[in-house]
Amino acid sequence: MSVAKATKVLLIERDQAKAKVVLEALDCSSYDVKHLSCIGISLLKEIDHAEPDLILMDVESPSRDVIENLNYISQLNPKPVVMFSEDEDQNTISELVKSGVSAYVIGDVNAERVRSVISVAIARFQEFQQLKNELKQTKNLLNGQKVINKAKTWLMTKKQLSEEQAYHRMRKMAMDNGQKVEEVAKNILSIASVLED
Amino acid sequence: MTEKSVLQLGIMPLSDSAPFVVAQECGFFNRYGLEVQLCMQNSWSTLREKLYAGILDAAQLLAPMPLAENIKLNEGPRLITPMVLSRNGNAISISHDLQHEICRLNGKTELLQPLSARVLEKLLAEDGERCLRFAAVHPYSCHYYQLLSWFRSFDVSLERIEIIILPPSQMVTALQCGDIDGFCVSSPWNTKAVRSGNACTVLTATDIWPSFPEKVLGLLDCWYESKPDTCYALMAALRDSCQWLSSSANRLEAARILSRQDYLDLSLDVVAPSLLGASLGNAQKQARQVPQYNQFLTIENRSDFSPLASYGDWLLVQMQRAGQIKSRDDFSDVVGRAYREDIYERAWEVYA
Repeated sequence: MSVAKATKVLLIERDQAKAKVVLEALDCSSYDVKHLSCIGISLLKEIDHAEPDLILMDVESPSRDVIENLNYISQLNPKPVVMFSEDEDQNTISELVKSGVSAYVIGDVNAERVRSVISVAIARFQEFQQLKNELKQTKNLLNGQKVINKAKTWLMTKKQLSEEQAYHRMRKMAMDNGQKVEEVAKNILSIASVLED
Repeated sequence: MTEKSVLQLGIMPLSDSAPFVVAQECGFFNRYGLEVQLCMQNSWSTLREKLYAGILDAAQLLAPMPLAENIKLNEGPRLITPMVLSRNGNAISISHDLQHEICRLNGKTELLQPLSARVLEKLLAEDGERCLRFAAVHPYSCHYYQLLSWFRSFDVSLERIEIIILPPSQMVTALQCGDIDGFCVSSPWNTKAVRSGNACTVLTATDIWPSFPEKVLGLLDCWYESKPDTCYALMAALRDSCQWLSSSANRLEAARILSRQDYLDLSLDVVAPSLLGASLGNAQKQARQVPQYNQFLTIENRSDFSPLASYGDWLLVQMQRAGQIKSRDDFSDVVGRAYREDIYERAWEVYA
């Protein structure tokens, strides 16, 4: 029984954390995975050196036009999976683009292999995006809380209110104006900055 | 009422995204009942895929792209253009090293715009080993063809010049590192390179070609067929926007809006010059007046914004000369499929 040659996968990703989750998810017995985070000429040199069968990258990467047109300066001629997949229906294209993954095939690669690598990439990219969104939401929440506390303190000192009274006053203003408490707090702070100049 | 009123439009971080940005900020889309979200893209490849995927309704496109797509793909939805949005806008810049080399060889202290390609020919003749490397943003772009036209204008040996593809934002760094000797790119990226102190702009697109369509409105034929009235409304809004931009009095306002963080996110002194018709050669030197650097037309002639077949034919000639297609005669039907003068005519009947 002959041992199938490992498919050479090249991941081009500047975000190290994101690259890590994709790399960890790919089975290294079936895939020979390499990661590049460079751009420009160094990227071009490294790709030629790596001779990949499959290239994975973020659909939003500015280097996409470089990879797409590699054949202009290199022997490598990557074909975007999204444009040349056998079932070229709109849904496949849409699903891939929306998932944030773009993939290029070079030469003859087993279709089953390509599909499994891409599905891993899609899953990990989405997972990473979700984590990033959650982090952003948490940060926003924390920032919002900070603004509210600051406005509350200002009201307490200027109007001699208790903490509870200050908060109630802001909440009432928010309800009366159909705003969020955070927005009211922001308004108070901007007025405060004018008054205290 | 149009078939669809909420649209996602794709644009690239370039000065000639102005018709979209101005239509959004000045309320021209709203004037025609459209609510638009502008989506800034990082690459032409992704912008094109999002059009095919239906994530974007329409977008700014390089003028040769609809032709190239129709040459590559025979089946499925077609990428088409019903309207030209801007003309010119590109320029060629070279590194300071190359500039000094040319100056030394020609006994000069500075290079004046427009620089003749003769100096490159002389440079290569002087040193038989010397090769040059330039960058363009896309092979199917006016930038690429304008570089070739410039080299050919003085029979510069193309065997010793390599043209690579790089995104505009990476060109300045590549120039700085000595990885490339020069590039052709849309504004404001030449000004950006000059301001960063690493480049010298030597000529603009108008020195190479007569005023020529640079960016067009791109969408899929099936999108148009299912939403013709939306398409006409979109075209009318963009026409009003180009009309607004054609007034030089509005250009500083346009630059101010474009420089904002949510659009180009570049300083005003980088965005304004080309829109005001100024090509900076070197920083701190007198700028050259190029009134048509970024050209947006008014509707003086009915055909001003029309994607005329003659433009498509001219681009096929450039593709053939670049070796991208064997013979343009094989693709004579492509122009009519990609450049849709019929849609343009129909839109102007609806919104005269």
